[in-house]
Formats: sequence, structure tokens, C-alpha cells
Amino acid sequence: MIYMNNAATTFPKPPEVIEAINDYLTKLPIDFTRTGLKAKVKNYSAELREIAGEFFNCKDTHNVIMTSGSTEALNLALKGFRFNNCNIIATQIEHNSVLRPLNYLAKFGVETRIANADSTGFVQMAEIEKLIDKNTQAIVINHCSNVTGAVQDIKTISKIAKEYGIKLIVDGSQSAGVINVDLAELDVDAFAITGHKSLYGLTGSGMLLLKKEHKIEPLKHGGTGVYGNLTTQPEDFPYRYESGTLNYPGIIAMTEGIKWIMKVDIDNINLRKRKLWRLMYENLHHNEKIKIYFSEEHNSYGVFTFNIDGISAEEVNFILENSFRIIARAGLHCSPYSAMAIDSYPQGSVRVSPSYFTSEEEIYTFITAVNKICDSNYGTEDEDSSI
Amino acid sequence: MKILQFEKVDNCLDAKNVYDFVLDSIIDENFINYLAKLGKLTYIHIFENPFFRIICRGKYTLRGSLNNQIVRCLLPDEFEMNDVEELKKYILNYD
Repeated sequence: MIYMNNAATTFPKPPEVIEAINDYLTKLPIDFTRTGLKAKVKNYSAELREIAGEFFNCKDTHNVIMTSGSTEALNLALKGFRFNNCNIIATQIEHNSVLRPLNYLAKFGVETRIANADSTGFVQMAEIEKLIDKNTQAIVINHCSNVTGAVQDIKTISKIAKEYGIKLIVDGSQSAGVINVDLAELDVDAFAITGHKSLYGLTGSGMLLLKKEHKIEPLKHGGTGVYGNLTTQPEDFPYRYESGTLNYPGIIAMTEGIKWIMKVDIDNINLRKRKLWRLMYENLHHNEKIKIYFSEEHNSYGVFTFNIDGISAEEVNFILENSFRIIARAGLHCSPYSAMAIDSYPQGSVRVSPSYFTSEEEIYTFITAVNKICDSNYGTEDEDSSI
Repeated sequence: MKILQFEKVDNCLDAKNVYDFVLDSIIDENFINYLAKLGKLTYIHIFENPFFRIICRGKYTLRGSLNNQIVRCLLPDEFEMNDVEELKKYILNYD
């Protein structure tokens, strides 16, 4: 099998990640907060906070809150700020991890305004700015489109948000570990991250990087391992936000994943992905049957999304998987408005996402497969294909 | 042919009602020809593992590939469960 669905979950993981998890699982599970052996027991969450602070350049500005992924991080930010009777601006490229919490907030009088993206998945600042009024309390935006790979101009959006005094919440699911993210430069209020994608960690892990000046409401309440005498949630960080036993394998995997990225260098990782993306593009874009969805100017090179004329995305994906043993992904990619923006709604598109570990040979196998599907000269839209 | 699993596919956009038949043996040409008696066969032989589609008009469309163990069944919005049960029996009767 050739795995090219890394925008969903990366595979394989760096050996350092696997070794660290194995090491954790074979050691005594002594909780750092409950032992006098502190010199011998690692404080895993403190280590991740340190590494993540360095990697995202936010040590002095943001708190690192452990979550189960981007979805929880976004829920924490969107619900924790206690927005009510206001409007929040989102965009057409949002994932359901943003759209669904926003729709939930409607019961608190929160109106969601959707800024249009262009046909490449890029959102022009003017599209956001024209929706801002005195009742706007936040902008929430996907840093990198999981459909087209378009990277948004967060720096400019942040500047405008500051001018209007509104909060900026950014979904970093497809940017963390893909492109360089410098929060000191981007100056966002909350940045949501998942561990299992390009940080090479595990599913069920993530972080919210929240500006230290914000004290928002926690999503969960419960045991923290410390302050056992308190029957109310501790107020101080990180206990305010982190209840229940933490996902240490996930935390360790994220730590080692980030260390690995820092060792290889994120620019080298992106360069590698850019090379693989270009290989696919140069070999397929001349084919008139193939429509590729991407942003020339703002491309993260994390995803290669396309459709083949006359064959549904689902069927192309089925053929890739079953006839060529290539794992890709078809559908709306949990971002229905993105499909509308790029005009692939309702059938969706096929998304291929190589990783740093994908070989050029695997890319050529994919290119050959797509060309063969095109050459097969059949379609699902012919008159005999309806069910 | 035994059916190991019969499960609904919830994330396929091609039809509202999609089911996968997971078979106990790999699909060979004889089995494809057997299924082809149910409708109109399209067979794409140039793929590494040839792909087939069988359209049984008004009832369902079947998809699969040679050397695999899955037959995907796409049903119209309004369908008769009896058609699916008959298909199940038809597959089970193959030897």
C-alpha cells in the first residue's frame, strides 16, 4: 500500500516518536505531581510546553493547553471566551470543527458570518473586513486550507483584528508542522493544533496556544492531580484547563515529533513536500480531464486536490485504493463551504497528501494511476451509469 | 462465497445508501462474470487490479476490483431492502 493521506493522519511516524512511546509504556507510570522522585521522573507536559513554546515562538506570550486535538482546542477557545449576543466572522474554508461549535453558539445569540474564499481557497482581507461591525467579537479562520492548501495571510488579518479590538482564533491543524508558524509575528489570541497530523504524533492529542492575558472558561472540570483539598476548579494555569489524567503517550509523541521537525528543519520538510507536489502538478496539469484545485501564490504544498472529468471523486478514490493500492481521500473533507468555493460541491474532490517520507517512486506510481484512470475513457456520468 | 461483513458506508457522496460486502475470498474473473449477470458490466482491464462496475438499473450499482475482497453496493435514495437481500443470497450462492 502507498499511503498518501497524511493531511488526515501522518504515517509513518519518525522512529524517535515510536521509541519514546515504547519507552513510556515500559516504564513505571509514576505521576510527576505525586512523587518525591522528581529528579528521576520526567514532567512530560512541562517538556511539551517548553518545546512547543520554542517551536511556535510563543514562550513568553502564550500558554500551552493540552487538548485531545484541534476540535477540542477550537471548542475550548470558541466556548471559553463566552461569546454572546454578538457576531463572529468565519470563512468558507473552515472545517466542521469550527462551523459546528459556531452553530452551537447560536443559542447564545452568536451570529456566524461567513467570509467568501476565492476559487483557490484563499480569503481576501476585504472579504473579512466588510463583515466587521460593532458587534463583531471574533474572527476565526483556518490557517491552511485542508482542501486546497491555501495559506491565509494571518499577519494582516491579525493587524485588522487588533485595529477593531476583536479576537483572532486560528485553526492550525494543517499548518503546524507544515509551514513555519511564528506566533510572536502572527499575534493571534488562540491557535489550535492537532498532534496526529504534521506534528507526527498520535490521534487524540493536541494543544491550544492561548495568549497569557486571556483567562477563559474551561471546557472540563475535574481532578488535576494537585489541590486535592479544593472541590472547585483551580484557577491557576494549567490546572484551570486540564482536568483528568492527561494523554501522556500523545504528549510524548507530540514532543518527540516537534523535536524531530526541529532537527530536520521545517524548511527542509516543506521543500521536500513542495518537490513532491510539483512532481504531481508537472505530470498531471496538462491532462485536460484533470482539474487541480490549488493556490499558486499561497500554497502550503501540503495537499494535492483534484477531480477527473466524468468520474466521481468517490469512484476515483475507490479505484486508487482497490485497483492501485494507493490510500488517498475523497469527499468534502469536512469543509462543505470550501467545496462550494472551489466549485466541487456536492461531489467533492480527491485529496492526496504525501509526507516527508513519501518517495518519488510512490509519487510516480500515483501519477501513472491517475493517467490510467483518465485513459480508461469511461465515466460515471454517462447515461447508463445511474442507479 | 461467504460474506464476512455487510456494513453501511456513511462517508460516500455518490449515493445516500451505500453498503460494502466484505467477502471471505478474493474476487476473481469468474466471480465478476457471475455478478455481471445481474446487469451491465463495465470492466477496466488496464489497471493494476482491474476495476468493474455493474449497473443493475433501478436497483443498484456494484463496484469492485479484481484481487480484492470488497464489493461496494450503491443504492438509490428509495430502495427495496428485498433487492439487497436477493443480492446477498446471490453472492452466497456462488461457489
